[in-house]
Amino acid sequence: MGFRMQVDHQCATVFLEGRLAFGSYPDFRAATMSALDLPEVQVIHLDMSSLDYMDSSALGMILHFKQKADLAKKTLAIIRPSPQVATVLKVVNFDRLISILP
Amino acid sequence: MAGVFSWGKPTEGTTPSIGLETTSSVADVNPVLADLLMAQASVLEGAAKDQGLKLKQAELLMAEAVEGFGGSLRKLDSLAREQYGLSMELRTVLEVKLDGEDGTQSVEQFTATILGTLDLFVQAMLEIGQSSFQLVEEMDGIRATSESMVSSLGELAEVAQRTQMLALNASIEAAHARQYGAGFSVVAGEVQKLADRSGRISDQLALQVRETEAALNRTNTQVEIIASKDLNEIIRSKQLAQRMVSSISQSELRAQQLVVQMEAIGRDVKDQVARSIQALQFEDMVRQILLRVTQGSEHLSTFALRTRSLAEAVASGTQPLEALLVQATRDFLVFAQDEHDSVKAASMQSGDVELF
Repeated sequence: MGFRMQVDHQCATVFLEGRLAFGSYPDFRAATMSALDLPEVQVIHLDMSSLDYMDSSALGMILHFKQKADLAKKTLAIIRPSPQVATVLKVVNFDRLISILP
Repeated sequence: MAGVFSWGKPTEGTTPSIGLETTSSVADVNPVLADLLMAQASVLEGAAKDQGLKLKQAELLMAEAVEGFGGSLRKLDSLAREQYGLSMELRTVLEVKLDGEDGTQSVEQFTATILGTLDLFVQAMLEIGQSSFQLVEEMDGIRATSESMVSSLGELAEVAQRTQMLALNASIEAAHARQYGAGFSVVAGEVQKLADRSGRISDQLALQVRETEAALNRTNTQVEIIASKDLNEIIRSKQLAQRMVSSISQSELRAQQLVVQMEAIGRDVKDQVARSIQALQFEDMVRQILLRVTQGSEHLSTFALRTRSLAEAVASGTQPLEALLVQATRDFLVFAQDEHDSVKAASMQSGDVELF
């Protein structure tokens, strides 16, 4: 199952759904790298409104992509996290590492 | 003017009555005067007896006061003990210690340590997760290289196979040339050996590449195990730490309640002490009243005794009436002076009590 991506001007939004874990990496990488490779895109949003579960590998996955986005001088942010995901992000203080927008 | 006094002895609930009748004989006066003095002595003795009863009542009052004072002191002692117990409990609540590696830690410090450790654990977990995907990408690179090697090895195997065919054909052609092809046959044989060797090396390399790919898959599985941790345990641990903080807050609240109770008991102790002081004042006042009544009673008894002696002297007629009158006047003045001194002393002592 791939992750849907939507581009609006300079902002690309990747819609993460269901569970995000180690096995999701190929789909995650495909979606995020396709957004990162678009020259006109300056901001990448990870929409987590439909994401039900994420484990520690998902966090590592996002941080790994953040490193690539930083190298490409593009902005990465998490938007609309679901309540379950918001709890996880809060417990690990993820907002210190990546912007989280409601 | 001379007269006769008659003494009506009092009955229950009535007052004594005195009558005066005129008489012409001085000798008749002595018995009447003796009766009068005797009646006076009886009244004085009755008054002394009445004061004795009041003295008993006062003693009872004093005993009650002393009992009240003792009760207050016992209550004070009980409250003091209770306050001491609460103080000990408060101290225990406020000084809860846990054994730490470097001595002791308060619960608050212990909680902060747990939260700090959890944060370090989370940070390490995130770094491991991030590094894991760098490792995954490195392994993907190795896997791509392996796939490229497999492709190259396929071409190598095909070359070896063609070389073998070529060597075989060369050997056949050398056989056809008989003795002229003997040298060529040797070359063809060596080429065949090289082709065989190349084929075996290609097979070994292919096997090693497959083993490498299998190792990459196993490594990928291990990386997945390392990187994939359920965060619910961390969430539960943090919630546990937060409950500990809540427990600390409740302990502090309990300590505040104990302090309030101790303050209330302190006020009770103060009230009880004040009542004890009041009881002490009452005891002192009663003691002075008793002293005064005792002195008054003694004066009355003495005066009654003197009056009775005077009455007996008058009745006997052995002494001149004038001398007895002088004696009576002296006795009365002494009694009056004693009473005056007693009241004056009592007034001064009463003033002392008010000052106390």
